Amino acid sequence: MNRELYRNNCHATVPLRDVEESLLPAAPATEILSGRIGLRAAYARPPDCVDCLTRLTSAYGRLTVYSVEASPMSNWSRIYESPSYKRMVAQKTRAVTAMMVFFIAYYFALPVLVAYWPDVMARQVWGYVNWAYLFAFSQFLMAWGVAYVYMRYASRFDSMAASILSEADGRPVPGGEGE
Amino acid sequence: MSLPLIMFLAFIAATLGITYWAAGKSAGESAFFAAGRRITGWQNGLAISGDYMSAASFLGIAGLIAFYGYDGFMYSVGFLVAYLTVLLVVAEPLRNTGKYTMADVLAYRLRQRPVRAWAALSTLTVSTFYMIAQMVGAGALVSLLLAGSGIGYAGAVTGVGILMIVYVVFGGMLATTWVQIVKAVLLMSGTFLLSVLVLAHFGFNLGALFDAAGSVTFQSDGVAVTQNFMTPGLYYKPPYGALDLISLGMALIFGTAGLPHILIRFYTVPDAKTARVSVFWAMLLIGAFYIMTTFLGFGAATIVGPDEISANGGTNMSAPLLAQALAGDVFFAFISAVAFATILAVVAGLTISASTSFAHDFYSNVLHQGKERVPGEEVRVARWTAFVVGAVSILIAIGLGPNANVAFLVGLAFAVAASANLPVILFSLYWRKFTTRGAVWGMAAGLLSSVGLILVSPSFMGIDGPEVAEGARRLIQQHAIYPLKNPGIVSIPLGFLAAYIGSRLSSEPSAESKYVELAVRANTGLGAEKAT
Repeated sequence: MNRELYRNNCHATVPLRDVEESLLPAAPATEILSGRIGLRAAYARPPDCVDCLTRLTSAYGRLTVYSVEASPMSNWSRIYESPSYKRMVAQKTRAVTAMMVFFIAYYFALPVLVAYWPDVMARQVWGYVNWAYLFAFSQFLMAWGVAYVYMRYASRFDSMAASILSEADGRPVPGGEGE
Repeated sequence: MSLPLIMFLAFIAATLGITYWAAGKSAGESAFFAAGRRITGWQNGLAISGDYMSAASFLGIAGLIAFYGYDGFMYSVGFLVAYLTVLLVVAEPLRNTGKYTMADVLAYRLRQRPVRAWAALSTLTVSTFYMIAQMVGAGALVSLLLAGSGIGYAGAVTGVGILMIVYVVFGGMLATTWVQIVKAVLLMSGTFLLSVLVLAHFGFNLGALFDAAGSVTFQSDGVAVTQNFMTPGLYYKPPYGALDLISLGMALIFGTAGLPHILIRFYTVPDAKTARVSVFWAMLLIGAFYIMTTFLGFGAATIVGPDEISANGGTNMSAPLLAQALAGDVFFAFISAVAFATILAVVAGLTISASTSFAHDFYSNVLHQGKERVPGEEVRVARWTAFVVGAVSILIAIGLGPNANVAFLVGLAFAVAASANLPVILFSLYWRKFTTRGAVWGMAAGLLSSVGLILVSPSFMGIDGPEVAEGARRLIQQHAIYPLKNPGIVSIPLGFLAAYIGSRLSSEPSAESKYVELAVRANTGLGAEKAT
């Protein structure tokens, strides 16, 4: 579904038994949820969307519209403003910033120490192996370590994102081609 | 027929088989550009490694360590640590918000045409620099490895060029991916075997290896010198060496996350989580590989010796010569074939990234406002671009000749990626007030400053002694204006600064309001491109 259209979509949820398929908007805009049917009609302009609902309502007197949204980008903004989303982004920013600062500092410490304290770094620790070479090796362990820690955090953010999406009404997900 | 040639042909046959298989599955846009987004996490991890670990890594770094010890190992360290930037801030949001290219993310909330035009220019620049370095290296190397078979420099370059065109034109991203996977497996096993043989040579006593590396004797200007190879500063010498290493480190750490041919790999997986898992796999493999470069390099330095390597083809031949010294001709042939596979997988990745960017960003979106006039046009243009990119690379590489000094081009590619691409990727993902002007200024400043600095650096300027061969002499025989080999330390801050100032000096309400959408997409994966 086209993103431009999606921003002007409307979304009505009605009991499944009430609707005949022939009256629904074209196929890609419709999605059957459990027990209900979600009409996600994509129209270029909001009035067209309202018009569709009006037609459906006049065909089925008993039709209950649970929610109608025709405001631009409503779904994105609603998620963006939600407390759970804000909480996730705040936690993510904190964790990622800390890891970035740590690894950049650790990495550049090596060339800086070698540049400004060459005598100390050239001091041999184990046979001919000196501090500079040992520090260089430790960078590998550092990189793997930070990556592992991030993977642990990330799976927590995954589940936070999943619950944000499921609590955001309308389970939107305009599938298919973007742009 | 020589043994290496047989192994080369075996690898070519296998990859052409892959291409034939992939050709049947490459119909359609998402199949051609992104392998249908169905590559799994570990497969993509292998493919990223295969895309990334170029001949410059396998042969070049092993050679640098064999000749300069610690300073060569600095490349190994940087190449791995760089993936933390990819993992922490780029891979997942890129997968969630883009479609086929890096520019998709930039153009999401900015004005399409200027941003995509600059992004395509930057992508083509990075890919071309990287490609020329690989092709010249490939030509020199293959003709050396196949010495006696009648395949010269030009023949080798043409062969590599034709193969990469075939992979990409017929097999698209799917064939490229599997060529990279096969190469990664070959490279890892070759490196592992070689490392085990080196360790076996020292009776599996690590201390003995490091003791040997602690006193390597070689000829320097006709005098025998004994040197501890774990000492810093043998390659990057005073007065500017230390600063140059920091500059190199910056280009590696911030450039990898801006390399277009690495970034497009994240579009080949089903979702952001898989993208993340694939970076983790890639980090394990790439890290293991670069740790082993120590064994390869020190092995070559101590078992073969720098003098012997110099007499038999120079630094790049360190690993193959080590293989020959340890296990004879068959193993030499195998390691040569690994090097060949390495080159092919990387150039194929570069070709597809250049042609995807040209077709998707420049042709479709800049020239034709994002509308395909005929169905399938974008893929057709990409196929033609791959052909042209390949042909042009062959011609440039042949024109430059085997002695051309092109090693700096890989470093330059990283510097451009770090200065022109990474600042704008980060700002568009994480800064609400970023604008089109900021993006254009950032990319222009990063691109022009890194290329400009290289032109006045020791890579182009300097006074060569009489011993330097005709084709390898520097262009401008004067003292370099910019004393470092690596422009990153100046050009990366410039790229960030220009992007920042450009944004501050303009306001773009539409870009600001669309940030909400981009951020939610990036953080939750809502509306991300699906596998097909």
